[in-house]
Amino acid sequence: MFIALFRTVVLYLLIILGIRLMGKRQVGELEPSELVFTLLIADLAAVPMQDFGIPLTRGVIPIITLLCVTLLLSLLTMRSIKFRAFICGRPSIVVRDGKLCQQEMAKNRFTLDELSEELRVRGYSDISKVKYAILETNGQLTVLLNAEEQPVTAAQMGLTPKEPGLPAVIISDGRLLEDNLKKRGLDDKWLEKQLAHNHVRRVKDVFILSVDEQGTVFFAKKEKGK
Amino acid sequence: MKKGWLAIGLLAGMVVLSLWHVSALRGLTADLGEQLRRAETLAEGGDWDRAEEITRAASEQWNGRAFYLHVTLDHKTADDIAVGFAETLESLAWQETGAYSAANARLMEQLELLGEVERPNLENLL
Repeated sequence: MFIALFRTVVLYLLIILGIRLMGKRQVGELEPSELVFTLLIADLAAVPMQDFGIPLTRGVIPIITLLCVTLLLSLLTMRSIKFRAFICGRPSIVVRDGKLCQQEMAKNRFTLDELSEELRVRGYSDISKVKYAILETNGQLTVLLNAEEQPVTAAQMGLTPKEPGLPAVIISDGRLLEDNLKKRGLDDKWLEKQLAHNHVRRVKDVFILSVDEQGTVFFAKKEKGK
Repeated sequence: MKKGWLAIGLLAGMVVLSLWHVSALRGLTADLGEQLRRAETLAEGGDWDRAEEITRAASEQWNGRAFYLHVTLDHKTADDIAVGFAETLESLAWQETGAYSAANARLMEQLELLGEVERPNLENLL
């Protein structure tokens, strides 16, 4: 039983390390080599986890090998456009100026039903209003409408709204994040003022306190029992 | 790029280690096979004691590497060979010619196959 416990922890941590090294991307955004890595490592880890007759190295070595090869392929795709095109392919324009590019659709085995579904999900029912629909290398469809169909922006109306900026979390689940407090140029006096304003005595009683670059505060007290 | 060099280093290290492992395993199995062949010749000539001594030394050499073998090989393979040594020694102690020849032949074949299985040749790769 201890062997099962030990092997499970080791292989689990190894997989987490591998996924962590792949970077911040969702499954739908992974390159083919990274997707294959993600699919394979679970199986590779499961075998020595369950079969104690197989040495742990039979799981660890393939995982580390896959990790290294995937990392190298990712670096190569970053450095070489040709290699990136070879591994990931190129985006394909399936709708141009409101007209279907049927050859591109056939080349990508992208059916009319799939295109219609993707457009409907995005709230577009009329293909003639689409300037470009691009099938990206990760399989997602990017839709750009004709200029007159796009929502008006503040800049187009000659307005200049304030930039809200990125809110910084100062208190998270009862814990004070002093680094963020300093980065926002705030101090303990400001914090005490905010707590008093919201009728709270201690940092521990705050669920979240965040402040953006304009000084707008978002505050939520912890619910009782938490 | 640091990660790239680390990845290349790790891959190169694993290639070197695996090739070293292949070489070490072949050396071990060849050495043990040779000792077993010598023991068989001695047993055929009637020198059972000397044959048992050599076989026991070979068994101890195998068991002395138990940790390394269990970390790198399927446990069943390593255990089967350990059991093979036990069978061979038992038949040597009883001086049973037929049983000894069969057990020894099986053991030598297992060792030879083990030495071959990790070789990076076309047969194993495919």
